[in-house]
Amino acid sequence: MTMVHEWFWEYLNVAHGRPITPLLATYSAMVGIAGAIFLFWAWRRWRSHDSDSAEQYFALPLAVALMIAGLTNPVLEVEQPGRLWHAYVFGWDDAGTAIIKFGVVLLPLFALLCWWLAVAVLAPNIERALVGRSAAVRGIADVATLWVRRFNPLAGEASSRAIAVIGVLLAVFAILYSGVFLMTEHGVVLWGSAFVPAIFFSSAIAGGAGLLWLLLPLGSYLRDGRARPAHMGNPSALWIASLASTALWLLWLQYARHFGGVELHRALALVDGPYRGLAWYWWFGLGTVLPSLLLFPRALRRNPLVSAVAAAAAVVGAFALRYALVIVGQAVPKSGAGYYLYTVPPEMWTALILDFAYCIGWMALFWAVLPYGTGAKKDISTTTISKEAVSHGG
Amino acid sequence: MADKSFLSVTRRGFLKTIAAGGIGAGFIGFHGTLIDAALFRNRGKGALHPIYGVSDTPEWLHDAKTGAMGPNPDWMLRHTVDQQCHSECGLRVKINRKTGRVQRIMGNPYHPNTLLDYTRLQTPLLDTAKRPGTVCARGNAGIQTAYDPYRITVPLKRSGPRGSGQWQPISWKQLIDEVVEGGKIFADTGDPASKDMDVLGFRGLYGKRKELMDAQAPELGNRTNGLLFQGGRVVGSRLGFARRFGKAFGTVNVYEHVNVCEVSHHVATAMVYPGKHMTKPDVMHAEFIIFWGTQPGDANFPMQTLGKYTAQARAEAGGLKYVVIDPLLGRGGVSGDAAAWIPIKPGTDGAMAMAMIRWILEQKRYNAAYLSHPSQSAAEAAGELSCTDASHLVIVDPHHPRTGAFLRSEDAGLGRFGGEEEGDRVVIAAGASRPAQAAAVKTAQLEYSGSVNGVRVQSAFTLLRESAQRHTIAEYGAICGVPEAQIVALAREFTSHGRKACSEMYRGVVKHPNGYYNGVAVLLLNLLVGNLNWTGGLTVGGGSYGYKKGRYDVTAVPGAEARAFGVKLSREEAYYEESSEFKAKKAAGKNPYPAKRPWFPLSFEVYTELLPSAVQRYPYGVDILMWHMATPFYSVPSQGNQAFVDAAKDPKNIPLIIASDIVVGDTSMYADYIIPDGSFLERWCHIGTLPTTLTKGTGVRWPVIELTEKTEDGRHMCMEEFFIDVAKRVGMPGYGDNAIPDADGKLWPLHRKEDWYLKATANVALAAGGNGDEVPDISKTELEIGDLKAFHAQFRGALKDAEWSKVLSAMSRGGRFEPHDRAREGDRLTHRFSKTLHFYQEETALTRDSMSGRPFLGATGWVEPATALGKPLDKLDDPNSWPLTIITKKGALQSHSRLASNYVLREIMPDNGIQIAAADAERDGIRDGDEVWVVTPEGRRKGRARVMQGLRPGVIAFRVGYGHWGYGATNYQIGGKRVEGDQVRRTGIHLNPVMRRDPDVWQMSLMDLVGGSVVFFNTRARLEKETHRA
Repeated sequence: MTMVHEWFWEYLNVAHGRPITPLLATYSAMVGIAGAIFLFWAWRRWRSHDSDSAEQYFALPLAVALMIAGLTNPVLEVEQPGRLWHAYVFGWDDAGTAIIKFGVVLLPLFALLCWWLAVAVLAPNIERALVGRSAAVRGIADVATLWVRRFNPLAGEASSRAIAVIGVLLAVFAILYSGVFLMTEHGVVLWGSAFVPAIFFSSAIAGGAGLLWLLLPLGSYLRDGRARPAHMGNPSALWIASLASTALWLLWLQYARHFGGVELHRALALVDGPYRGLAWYWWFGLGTVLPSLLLFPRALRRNPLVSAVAAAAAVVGAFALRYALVIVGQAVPKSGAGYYLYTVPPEMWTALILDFAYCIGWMALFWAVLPYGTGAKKDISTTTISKEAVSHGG
Repeated sequence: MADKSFLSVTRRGFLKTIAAGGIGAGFIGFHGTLIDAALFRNRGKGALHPIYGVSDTPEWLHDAKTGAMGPNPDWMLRHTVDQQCHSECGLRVKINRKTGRVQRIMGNPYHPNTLLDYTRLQTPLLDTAKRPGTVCARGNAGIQTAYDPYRITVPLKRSGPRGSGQWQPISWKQLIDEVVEGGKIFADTGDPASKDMDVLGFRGLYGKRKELMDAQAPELGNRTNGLLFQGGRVVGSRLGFARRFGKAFGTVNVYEHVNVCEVSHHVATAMVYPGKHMTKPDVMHAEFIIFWGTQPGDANFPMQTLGKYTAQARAEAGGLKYVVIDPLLGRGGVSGDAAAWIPIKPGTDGAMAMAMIRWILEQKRYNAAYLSHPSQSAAEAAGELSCTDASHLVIVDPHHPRTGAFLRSEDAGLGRFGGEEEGDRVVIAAGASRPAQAAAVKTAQLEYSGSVNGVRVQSAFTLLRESAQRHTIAEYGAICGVPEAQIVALAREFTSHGRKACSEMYRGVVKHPNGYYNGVAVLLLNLLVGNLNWTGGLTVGGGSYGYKKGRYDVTAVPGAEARAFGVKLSREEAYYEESSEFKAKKAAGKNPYPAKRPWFPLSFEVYTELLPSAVQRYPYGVDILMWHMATPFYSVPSQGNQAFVDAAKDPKNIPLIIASDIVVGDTSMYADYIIPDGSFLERWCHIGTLPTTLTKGTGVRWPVIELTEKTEDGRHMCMEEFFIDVAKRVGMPGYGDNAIPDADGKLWPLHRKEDWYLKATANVALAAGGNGDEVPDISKTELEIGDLKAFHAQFRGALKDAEWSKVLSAMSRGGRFEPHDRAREGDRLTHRFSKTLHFYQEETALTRDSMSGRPFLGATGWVEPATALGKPLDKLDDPNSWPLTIITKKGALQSHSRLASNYVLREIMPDNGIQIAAADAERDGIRDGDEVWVVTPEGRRKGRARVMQGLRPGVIAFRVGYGHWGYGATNYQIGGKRVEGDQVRRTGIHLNPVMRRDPDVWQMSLMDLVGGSVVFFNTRARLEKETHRA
């Protein structure tokens, strides 16, 4: 069957620069997944007070690593790195023309919160590890751990819940922010829809669930010698988020094809045409349909291998979705300037690969240096151990 | 436990290793950014981004305390003249002093094109800080022409067959050596067609400067006419430089591109307004203008100025009203009560104008009192500002030896009179009803048909009436596709504004086989209302400050041995009947008609006939062809057909082809050598302002940057340096040490282009003036702003010391311009034209068509478009099979072939597409965006449909300038390295190569045989929808 906009497959033109590069897609995916990871962490903690699961130990350091590496991308992108954060020190008067806009102020706060809670979980271990250390070492450790020894937000029920609520709000913001940012960007027709933050949200949830499923056993194994799986609810969450992504994507395209103008149709023709590999195969096929199908049978959701395949697909999909939208979106501006088929330049590939390495490096560092200790169940005596966590092999 | 411990350590060690590796890699890769971030570096007030970032610092610094402006030392400002189109607007070029790179182009506020009340020349440069001029998108985009990544900066020589796309960079010395000395210069190319060919170089051909081209036809001139210079957009003093080389070499064949553009417009104008090639309305004070075949803001001369004037004039209360007559509604802003659009059938403007003339004559809505004055003196005595030949009598007796000519006093039995030729014509004196010499009476009868001294005569006015009455208004309406009532309403409106109504045209009227006649008819409307020289009426312009003579005679060639003479290759300005060929046929008792190819005695710059004539060796062949900014295969209708390209590139037909170009262009790709030329920002030229601005002015274009490589002695390579080095090497006069005479007879050297152009600038800057147009001396600050000290130091010896200050001042202001308040003197224009205006074109009437042998029409009328041998085009290509007519479109963003490198323009208009009228599209089931084939009798091209309302049904249009195959559009090799072609430049459809050839003449486009224009708007076509994707 011939698609409605098939003739647009032959791109018309190649002109005009791109204000936003694939670095923004990487940033969006990493920050979004970090937000999703926090949500999973908070949900589990809220529900079970489980502080001995792999999630409780290894998820938030992973989120912090994602935030660090993720936020490195816009720093690289704007080519004015001092500009991004000097406002924290010097005020926001000069940031009026920044393309990142003011919302960016919350993202570092979210990263700090993740870190604070990550070390809060380990506060007793930190206390123990610092016994007998010099005052200088203890001071440095306090700064690095945001004085969690003195004030542990997880120590009390009320503060624990309050901080979780704040964290959830920041996490949701982190997931939605890059989508809203694109949505409000003038002149790019493909982005101008509320579906963008919505689908960024669902894909981030799927990606977050997938990444936890893939990496938590690895983290716990590398520190404890025990490959503790992530929460068994994660495959289900991944499946639901993938279904949501599938539905949102198809609904969005249907909506755009029905109500969109010619420029949006041209953009969709690129989605169907030169970028169909990225948009349809990597994002839609691999990132949403495959997890939806693999995890459809409840029994398979219990199969670690099948879930791992679905998880990997969802993580790849979360990145592919953003690459597709960022790249295709800019190909057809509202000015009618025409199509610009984008080839990732070598220096961009280098930056992207380095950024993934950077993320993994920070993740490994946190996992390596944080005082998880052995026999964690006993060591972390101040926390409550849920039966559920134990039953899941925590 | 040991294992576990060991493994535990190993696992943690593994994590640490990964951490060190990952973070280390990140830090190494991003260290610059991260350090900058940590240290708050690069935290300017705006993003360093080409789109979202803040702009550069301004070119001026403002002292907040005093309010004074001063130059910003980071930038230099230079004023030059644009050449992104032929509007030739003044530019202010902002250049980074450190890098030498152009950062921005604005309008030069001294130049008339850029502001309604442009800045007086005496105003210091500093005082213009707050008010720069305007320049259009094309002008702004000129940076990308200069810095085109496909620019060639060193000489190239083909290393394969012509057109193979294989090039070798060569030295300047090798270039000059080979083209001057000739010989087996293509032995290294491996091209079977030319490797063994003994090529006649410049020296060899110059050596034949005293030999006749053809001893049997001495009128063809000397062998040196075998050097052909085919220039594209080469104008003003740059054309003068080339012509001077031709003069010194001994060739008459130095051309620019005019007949591609609109030479019939110029010829028609010159026949009505003797010697003038363009008239324009006084837009700001006119009450009503008809724009024929153009619309303000889309094209025309100068585009931005006409658009600006029109927008301003119509916005004024009780201001300008105008009508656009064109098949295509452009962006001329035709909307509201002040403007209207009449979608006419292509090529029928003459019919509509004749219908209007008929109605005006029948309703006596013409200015009879004005027309009754038979001479300028009589007109002036009556308070008129011009006169016409309306009352002059024309011999119409077909047996009279001077039939078609004006009746002279001697013919009328009035004896011989002295005085001017036009005053010697005969009129019927008003009231007395007796013949009289035109110069002797104050008023004359407009209408006359009868005999004078036994000779049947009619007045020019009567001849026009009879011509107009050959068809009824309804018939004219049917021809041009405009309802009779609309024609009448337009004629009534046109004659309701006194002298403040103008009939203005551009190429849409004249690019037809009948273009000349159409043009004359459109212009005659102006004569009927007598609008010339009046405020709000028509003007021929204020003229220019000449560059040729004054302080120096830059056209002279001291010591020239051989005069360049003879019939031009294009056979323009020459009569077939005077040729040896004609005489020989007559002597042999043969019908001398038709000629092998047409002759164009009334026309000039018949560029499109050069290549086919050279290939056919008619009237003679070409040894050396030079292309400069010339792209006939792209720009000439039908000449891009493969058979012709193959013939033209065959070395047997043209042994040596040298192009000077800024890129490997659509045509220069077929050359043997390419000389790297400067872009318009790197060139010299002195070019007069256009009549639209009413005042006198000459823009000075000069190299504000230079990007080509240098010769061994430090000159930037370009066309001029090539000419100079060839001439010196050959030993031609007019170059070297004793080359340019000054007013005292002293000879000055010519070793570099500035030696010549600076003297031309001195002629402009130091010409006599008055009324505020004197060039001031340059100030110290102005020298600094333009960084002209170094320039002066470099070329100090090229001028006399006393001349430098004003020359540099003219350069610093981009030319010399009369003040804007000199445009008008009350109700009349300051610059007035005083020759007799022609209702009847005697010179045309006395010229025969070299194909049919019939005389052309002296009294214009509606003439059906036809082939060279007279076959009507509707019979050539049946409208039932070919229901559409192709027209081209010149837009504000893309008007000719050479803006493909201007990506900022391409962003706005990336694809031209085939513009199709909505009604046609609906009938043929074509939707906007569909791929369709445009099929003509010559071939087919595929493009994307652009369905639109503003186009007359039955017409399809395309913008010229898209669909390139050269100019960086396709791959080629230089020195074995592949240069990748760019899709942007290939995009779009270009229909010139499939336009209609004249079946009567080998590889000739359809032509206007009177005016000499090539035809763009009479190719019939049909559309075929693409049914499958390749």
